[in-house]
Amino acid sequence: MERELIDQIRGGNFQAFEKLYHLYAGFVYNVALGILRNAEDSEEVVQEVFLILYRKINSFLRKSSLRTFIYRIAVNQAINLYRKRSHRTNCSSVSLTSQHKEADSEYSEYKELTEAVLNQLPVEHRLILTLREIEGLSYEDISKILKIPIGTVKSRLKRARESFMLKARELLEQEGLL
Amino acid sequence: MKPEDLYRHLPDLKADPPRHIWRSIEQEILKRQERRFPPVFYLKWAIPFSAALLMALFVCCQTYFTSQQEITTYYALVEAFDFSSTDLVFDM
Repeated sequence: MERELIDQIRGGNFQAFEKLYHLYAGFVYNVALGILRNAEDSEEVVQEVFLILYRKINSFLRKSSLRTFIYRIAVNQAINLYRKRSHRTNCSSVSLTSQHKEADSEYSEYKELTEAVLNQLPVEHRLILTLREIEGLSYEDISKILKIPIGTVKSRLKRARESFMLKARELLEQEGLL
Repeated sequence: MKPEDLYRHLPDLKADPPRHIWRSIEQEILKRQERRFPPVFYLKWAIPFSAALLMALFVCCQTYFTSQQEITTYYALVEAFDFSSTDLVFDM
């Protein structure tokens, strides 16, 4: 299916490209959101990634899967933008939840607190947690995207989990919820 | 509430990208395609430019071959009349 889609896009079929967008835009958006913690910047990353993809689809050599190719561009673009805007770090880091508030207030509270904890983590930990826990990727996929050995993925994930738990404990204590 | 509860809520942070992004990508691609050589470009500039270039090349070649021909004719004349010979002077 992937091969077909690439051939169609290369043949100038714009609808095939739209199909590709709908397949992967969610992932690109969530990875960008995980790294940048800012909705506007994440939208910019999605746009940039798909424009790059449209330009580079002819030079895609099929050595890796298209999925990994897209994931890698997404992570690189989001990290580049994060570096550019590092001075803005937590500013609009936002309660993203408050933008789409749920009817269920308890669920919403959990979500807001989880977001608050995630915002406090270093970008490296946020990225690996996003890839594994939010996007549900396998260790192998993460290893290919980040170009690191599987062992490093596991140890980095372990550190990220510990760091998350620590920050969560601190936050819950602060809020008097523990 | 425990830290583990918050950790379990991580997948809930998955969000859908806003719909307007696709429209802006589509517009940007179309804009870039228009910027890259529209067909009018070829009619307006590329064809007359190529024609002028060919014409200039033709003129250069023609000038070169004509001058080559003139030089050949000159030497042929010089050889035929042999102006360096002094015989003619003494005969007179």
